[in-house]
Amino acid sequence: MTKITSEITQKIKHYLEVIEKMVYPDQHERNNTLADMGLIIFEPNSQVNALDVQSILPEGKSVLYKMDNFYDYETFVSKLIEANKSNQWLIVDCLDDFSPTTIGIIKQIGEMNKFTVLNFRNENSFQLKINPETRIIFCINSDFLEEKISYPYFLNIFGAILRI
Amino acid sequence: MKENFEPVEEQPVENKPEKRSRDDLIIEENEIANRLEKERGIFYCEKDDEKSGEKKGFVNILGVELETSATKEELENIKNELIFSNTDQKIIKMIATCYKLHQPLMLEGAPGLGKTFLVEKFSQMIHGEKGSIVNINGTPKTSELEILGHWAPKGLKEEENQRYNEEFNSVMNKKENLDLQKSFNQELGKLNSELSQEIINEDEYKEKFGELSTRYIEETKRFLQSTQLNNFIKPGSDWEFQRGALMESYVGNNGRGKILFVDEFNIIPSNYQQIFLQISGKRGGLSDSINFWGNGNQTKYERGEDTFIVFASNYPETTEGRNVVSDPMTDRLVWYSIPGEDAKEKRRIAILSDGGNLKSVLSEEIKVDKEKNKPVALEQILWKKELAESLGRQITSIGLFLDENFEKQYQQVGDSIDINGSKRRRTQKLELSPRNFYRFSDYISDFQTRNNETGFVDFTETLQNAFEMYYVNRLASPELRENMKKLFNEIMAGSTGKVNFEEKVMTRKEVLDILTERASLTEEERKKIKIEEEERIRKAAELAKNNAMDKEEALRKRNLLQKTTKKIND
Repeated sequence: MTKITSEITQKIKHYLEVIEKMVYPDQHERNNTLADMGLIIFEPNSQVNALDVQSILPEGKSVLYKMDNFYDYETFVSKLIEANKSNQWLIVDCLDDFSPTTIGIIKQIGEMNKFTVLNFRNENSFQLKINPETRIIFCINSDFLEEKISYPYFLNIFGAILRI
Repeated sequence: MKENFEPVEEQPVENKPEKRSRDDLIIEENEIANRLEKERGIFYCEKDDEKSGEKKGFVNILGVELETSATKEELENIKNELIFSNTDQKIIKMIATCYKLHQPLMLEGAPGLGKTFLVEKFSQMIHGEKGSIVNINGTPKTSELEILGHWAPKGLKEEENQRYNEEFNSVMNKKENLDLQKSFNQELGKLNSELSQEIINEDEYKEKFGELSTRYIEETKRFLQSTQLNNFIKPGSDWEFQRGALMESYVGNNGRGKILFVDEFNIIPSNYQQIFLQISGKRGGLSDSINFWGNGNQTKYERGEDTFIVFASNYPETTEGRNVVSDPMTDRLVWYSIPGEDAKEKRRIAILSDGGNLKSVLSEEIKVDKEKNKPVALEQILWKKELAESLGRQITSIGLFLDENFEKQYQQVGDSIDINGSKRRRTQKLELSPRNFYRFSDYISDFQTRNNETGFVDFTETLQNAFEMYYVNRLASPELRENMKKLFNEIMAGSTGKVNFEEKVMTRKEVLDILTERASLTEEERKKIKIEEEERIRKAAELAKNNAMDKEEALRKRNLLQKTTKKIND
């Protein structure tokens, strides 16, 4: 784990707090509320990494997942189920481009806080509603985002974005 | 060339029930219209099935009657939850009409209009609350894997699955596989080009595509069997072809079919867009079947009665550098271009209406190092009580001004990144939906900071934090980020953002500070200030009167006033 300044720590804390608390009414459904996913972009000279972000949250509150396999949306979904079951957060360390299936999942979560995916765990069609306590925070290096992420509207999936 | 095509009407149904008079029909239609008005556009009814005599459920969606497996209660629940704008109504009616006619629909419109949501809700109105849709989200890497399907070992356990996926990644990057994909792409491209140039007709295209996909799928299976992935096949198990979204929409749900939503269709590589030519059938409707080699040597996938496909894309004129929908697809879809005016109006209404609806909450205490960071104000100004009035209007107007100017500057300058010292245009694109403004407003309501010197909530700083988090941080170029921050300062404290307030020209920051101070006082403090202000005015008036009387007296002594002039006291 890298050593980060208390100023940066406070910035991350504030940001995580925003993601945790910002639950807003659905524009389309009266009694539904939605929460945002988070995106933390590490600037080129940043000393911070996904593990640091996880360490700022209380111990046991989150699961860290290294997303490093373009084709593997199933492990991502499994980690989500794990976090979802135990009211935990999922910190996703983005180390590879996202497959169209993964983008589809993330986009559905961003828009409706739930998703449907085909062919998961021998189920033809699998659905999951995100637990209101669970949050998903994506951590990505700025250069990696700009050069490797092929989906051009990735940033639009998120609400508040932190750059550190 | 795209335009809004009207859906083609269905052929008249044979063996119609006894003919009703035109007057009866008009009465019935009026009753439906009244009921739609009364029941907010959606209602449930039951009718006897002509063949079986059994009762069947129907839903009337804005005048379009469709058979449904949803219960009346489910429909009521959906209806009671729905917030239906005029644009939503136009979209959902179009979906219902095309569904009834089995005609594939293309919704073209700005982001954030809720296209995905409406398709999903429509599906629930037809299949009940658990009725899910099949999704494809187009990306530049969307391929046949998502659309048609892929091979996978049958019945892998979860831990095996993770190992399999790790190995799968390296196998997919092997030269042999890349060559296989390249060859498929080249042949598909050739086929598409032959169709575009009318060297082959659509039926020939479908047949040739069936042959090509059959060969490709077989070769893929042989390739996978030759790799280490075959070790995952246990005795009694085998490779199975897992259906992609298009196949699932045709035969999923035990053959009844499903609703498929293909979002961002125009960023799917054009070669793969044309796979969807398989869905084009007679009279502009969906094809009765798809020719494709799948599991168990199945070569034909019959369309289920519930199969329906909705495509969506953004306006091509606003999305520079995107693939536009390839020509052969354009006239096979019913296009509904959500009018730009509608989208713009919806966005504006959403933004403006938000100002009065921000949550009035008292934030919980947040423990932070106050030396380093300012905490969120413990006692926030309640939106409904105070902010909905003049302060709320000012904040909303500033938010709207920032939103518009950010977008304007972004459109003019664009965003760039620096790679090894040379600048290039950024691949990541920004499209701000109304939802971004909602988030921005919620932040202002929930995360107000306080000015330590004055003790009042500091809305300039709160707005700055929100602007940075919801707008500026989306940009890659440090210069552009800096310019946007300057823009903020100019709007808040510079001459650009000056406004007329209570007959004085002031900066927005000054106006906010005054209104915040007023809104922050307790009732008692306000009464005290009012009394003091009245007293000050009374004293000032008295002083002015005394001065005037003194002057009058002096003028009289010098006989400079006519005798008939009344005294001030009179």
